[in-house]
Amino acid sequence: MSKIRKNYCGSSEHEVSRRQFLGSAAGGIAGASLLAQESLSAELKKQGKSVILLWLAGGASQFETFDPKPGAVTGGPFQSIQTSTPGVRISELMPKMAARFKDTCVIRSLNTRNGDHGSASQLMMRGRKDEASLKYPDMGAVLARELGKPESQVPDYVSFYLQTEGRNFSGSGFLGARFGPMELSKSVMPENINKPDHISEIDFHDRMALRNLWSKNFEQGRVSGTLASHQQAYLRVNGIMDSQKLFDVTKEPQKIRNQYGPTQFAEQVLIARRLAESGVPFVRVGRAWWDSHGQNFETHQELVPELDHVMATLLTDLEDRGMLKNTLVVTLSEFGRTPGINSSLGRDHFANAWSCSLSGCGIKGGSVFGKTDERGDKVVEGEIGAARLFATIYKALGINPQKNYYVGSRPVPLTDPGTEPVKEVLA
Amino acid sequence: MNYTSYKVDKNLNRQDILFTVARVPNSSKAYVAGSDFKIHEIDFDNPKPDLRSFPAHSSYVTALILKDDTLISGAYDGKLSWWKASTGEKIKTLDAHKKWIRQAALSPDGKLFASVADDMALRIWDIKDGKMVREMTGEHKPLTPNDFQSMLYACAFNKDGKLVASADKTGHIVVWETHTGKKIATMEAPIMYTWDPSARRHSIGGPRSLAFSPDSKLLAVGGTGTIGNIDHLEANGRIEVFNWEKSERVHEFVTDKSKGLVEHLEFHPDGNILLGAGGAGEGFLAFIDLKEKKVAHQEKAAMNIHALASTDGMKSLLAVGHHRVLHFKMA
Amino acid sequence: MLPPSTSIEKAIDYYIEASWKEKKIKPAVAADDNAWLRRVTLDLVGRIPTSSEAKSFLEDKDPAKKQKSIEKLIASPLHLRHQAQEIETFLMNGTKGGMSEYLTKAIAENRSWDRIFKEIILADESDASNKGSSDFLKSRVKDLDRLTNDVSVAFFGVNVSCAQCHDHPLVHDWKQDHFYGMKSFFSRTYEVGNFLAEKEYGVVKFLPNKGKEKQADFMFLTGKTVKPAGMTEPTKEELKKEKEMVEEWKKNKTQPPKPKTSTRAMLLELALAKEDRDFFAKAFVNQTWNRFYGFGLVMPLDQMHSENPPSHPELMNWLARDFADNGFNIPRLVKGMVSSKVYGLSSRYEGESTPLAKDFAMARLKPLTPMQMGVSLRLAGQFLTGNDQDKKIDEISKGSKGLADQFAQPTEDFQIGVTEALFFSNSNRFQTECLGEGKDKLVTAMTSLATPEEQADLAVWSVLSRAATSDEKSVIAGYLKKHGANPQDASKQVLWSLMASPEFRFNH
Repeated sequence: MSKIRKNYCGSSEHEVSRRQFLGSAAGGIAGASLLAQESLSAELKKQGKSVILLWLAGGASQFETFDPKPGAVTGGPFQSIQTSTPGVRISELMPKMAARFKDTCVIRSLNTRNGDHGSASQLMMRGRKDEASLKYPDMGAVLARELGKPESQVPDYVSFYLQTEGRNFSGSGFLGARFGPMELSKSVMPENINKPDHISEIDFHDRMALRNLWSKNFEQGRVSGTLASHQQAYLRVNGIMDSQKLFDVTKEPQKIRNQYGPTQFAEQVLIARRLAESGVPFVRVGRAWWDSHGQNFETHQELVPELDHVMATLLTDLEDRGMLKNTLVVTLSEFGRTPGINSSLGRDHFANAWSCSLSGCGIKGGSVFGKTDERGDKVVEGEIGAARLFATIYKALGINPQKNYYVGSRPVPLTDPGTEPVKEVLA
Repeated sequence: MNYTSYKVDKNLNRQDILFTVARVPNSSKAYVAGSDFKIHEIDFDNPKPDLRSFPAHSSYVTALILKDDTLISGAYDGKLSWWKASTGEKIKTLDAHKKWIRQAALSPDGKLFASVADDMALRIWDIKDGKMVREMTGEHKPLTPNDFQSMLYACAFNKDGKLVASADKTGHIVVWETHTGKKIATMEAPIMYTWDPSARRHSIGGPRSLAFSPDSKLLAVGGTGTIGNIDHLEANGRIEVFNWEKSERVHEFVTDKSKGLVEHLEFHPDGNILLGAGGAGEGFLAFIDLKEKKVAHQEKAAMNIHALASTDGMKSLLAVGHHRVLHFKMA
Repeated sequence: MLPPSTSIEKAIDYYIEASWKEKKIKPAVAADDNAWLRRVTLDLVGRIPTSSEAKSFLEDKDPAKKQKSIEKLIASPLHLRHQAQEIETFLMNGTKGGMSEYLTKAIAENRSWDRIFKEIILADESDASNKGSSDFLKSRVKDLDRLTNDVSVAFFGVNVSCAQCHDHPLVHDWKQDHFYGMKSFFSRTYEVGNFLAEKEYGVVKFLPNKGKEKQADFMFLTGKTVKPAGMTEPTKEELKKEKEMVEEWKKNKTQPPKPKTSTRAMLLELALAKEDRDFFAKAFVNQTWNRFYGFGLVMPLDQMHSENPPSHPELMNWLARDFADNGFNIPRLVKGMVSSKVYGLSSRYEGESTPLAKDFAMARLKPLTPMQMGVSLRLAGQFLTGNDQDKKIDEISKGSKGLADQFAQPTEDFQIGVTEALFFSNSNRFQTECLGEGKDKLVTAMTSLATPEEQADLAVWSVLSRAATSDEKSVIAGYLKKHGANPQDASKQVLWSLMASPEFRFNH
């Protein structure tokens, strides 16, 4: 009987590993349980890595982005254009990405079988479906846990989602609030990150010192993971407040701001780069709302050029700063859009054959994985689901996709048991 | 005119989505084109098979102009092509616009035609030699106020051809003097364009059709109303009528029985009736009585209508659109 | 096993102490009076004690003062509200719905746990006193798998979800037959508009991971089965007729008629049968134990099966028998649990090797729930005087939902995030709701006192419900003097430091 199964019985002999998990999660004995499972070199490999997820909420069309089918009855009006990789073509709406395709791998063979916004968003943010009684952490929470440092002075999971449609599908699940997102839903500046006017710097510092004294007294003779996380949270306050400047886009040179462009999405992606540069391991920029049931082509004429420009600018900027080898840029939706064009010239939800892209860190650039048929109705080569996509992303960052977390005494691997990364996508 | 007496006497299913139609005078023939990039010659009295089909463009074909034996097509590939209608022989092709050509209109004297495209230019062409005789630019901005690409959707001549109008996505409408290229009036129809700043952060809508009244005093603009959920074309069709000389909106009409875009507008020669056609999930015809100032009659259509061509004082209406051709005949 | 006549608290102390002896564990000392009062007040009425409550308890020389406090707290209306909220949280957490309407009434009327269970599962609202009882099923009826599992977890302490896809890997108790067996009881339940309906027929079929598709028995977790009528599929005719009926009900917005045989009622019969009601009794005992002792006799709470025995099997058996034999009386159980000596141990351990949670040899730190945080923070910022304190506390409590929503519901292995610390540090809301000035406000009361030492004393009594140590008094007095240029601000900073301290954040 395998070890995994044996663990899942709730017996007390597994309490040790569970305690180790708690301890390290709370920053008490950082990394102890990780090192037991992973080699030191794998640990080192993860250091300084970041992910920027461009979340195309509502479902971007693969036909109008990464898997064009010009001339097919399903293809729509757009042409395809040659990318910098011979033989690889993407939609004419993405000329800038076509020109700098060298760092990007397009996956054209997602079959995720779920065409409902809510549950598909949960699936594509977590790599699997929640169980009735087990809420899985999303990619951000896992990467905050894996790539963040317990004592980190910057946030480790930042999520921009300023549009109101399709929000609230993220979450840290069983990893808890420590690894939950810093949600930016009202403005690009986090809530409660600025010192209020009614207290001076000195007083702010003094009252915190007083609090820390009470905390120290209370901790004597008491051991608890939750207690440690409480103290850790207050120790991080000053650092997080210092990171306020990272969210202030006016601190960025005007020249760079002009390169990204004036849109809200562009501004957020630029802030995401600032955050990654300062060691924030995971930033999601939610770009809603692609749900083009009516006027699909008009909608994509608006949204794809923006994506093309911002994504290409981001990749070039990361490259210029020497960050691209350590930063993975993921563009992903909850699903793609139907081959069929409806009578409102829209495309509807479609999860059986769609695309996403991975660029930068650990990725075989300038490549395409998987293939759909002539009309884009189905995957004909390299079909993968959410689990393998997530395993690939984790692997690209040097994280073992089969590493276990413990929920109670039950071991839960980062991706479903037996899930293999897609080797062809990895550098 | 008896607008309640229309009957659909031809209802033809098609594989393609049709965006444009040009009728052959005094016959049941027409040229249609759309999503398969081809031009099809059809006879709607004897629908199957098409009389002729020939590849014309590398994207959706959105404009057809027929003058005698000259057929001109325009498409999302930005090109205008001249064809000998009787043979399907290509005469020439011009890189007419940098972006999608959205609409074209023939001048009443048959010598010129206008094209509009997403490069935000209105261009006037000589039918015979294919020369561009005039270009109107600069008035329709390439970007919306929110820094997204705008689109130039519609154009129309007045009855004597001295005026030509154009309308862009944001609802900005311009009347130009055809022979000088001078802007002589502008109007706004902002309700037709919905920018959603908070929930979805993109836009939908925009005027799609224009028509001058026979006395040239009025300019009708067709589109849709303000949309709540911009995932769908869920607002009713909308027509605004301007006294363009005063830049003043004098009427607004809503197709309360149907949703979608008004993609075709046409005044009855007597000037009292205005026909709007369009749709979303399904299509509609709306007849507006300008004396009564109301939508006098609405007719559902079995498809979203993208274009319509009438003959004989609107006694025959040939509508094309989503996988279908419909012929409406007045009793 | 101890005789049934033993009191709950005595039984608890007896079995737990025996286990210490056996394992040679030295328990923590008893919590001091103030810590005990704070703990029991938070546990029973969901808020901290006021400074005057804390002081008068300390001064009370009655040897039976603890028992009297417990009785007084349990009798208070705040207890009923808190009790209903706690049960609502554990029944409805993770759903978007609530069921406070029903639970508030059921708890106020002291309905027994088996009656509440029946009313929730039967979901018959034709009796006005059961209004809202169907909310548990309604919030889950669209997902029968989830409904099946949530019923099993909430009422039987058993998570059968992994048996959905395969026989449980090691737990021999749970086969796919159990999951689909349990599901069968709910498979005839569906939604008609805003009402629940139950069909006369219907079976669950599933594909076992070995072999061909099979039809599930109506099987309870014990393996016992029943055979209701309607085990055959309806004819096309019948289905058509049914569809018309459903449309009719929907149109008229009427409650569909009850079926002749309700399979949900059959489940109740099986689950509450005298010889098989162990699952039901133990699950609630474990849940309640976890609530007061911070760690279940069985952990995780939803893994109550033969291969994951309780830390104290005899105690579990005794408590379950006692609970069942006494009519599943909730207040009786609650009162017994908080009356034990074990409950009253200190949360601080001075000895060498800290005992494990499952030894219950020291009190476990329990993070406050969102409502406990909201009410307690607002209350801590007050200085209540006069005779109508109860009324004022009630008002504060009712107005605390907004503040409570700023906090996360604790789970097993709960982690507090930096968002909470930032909220305390920088939000206007915290400043306004917890550190306001004016009538009945602590900041104002504090600054009206003559000496910094008196101010320190009041601050600690009000926020931490205890006297300040002499060290604390001098630290705080020193702080107030150093920041004396603006006494209001200095007081607020001191109060902030106490409210943001772990001593406040936890029920300890």
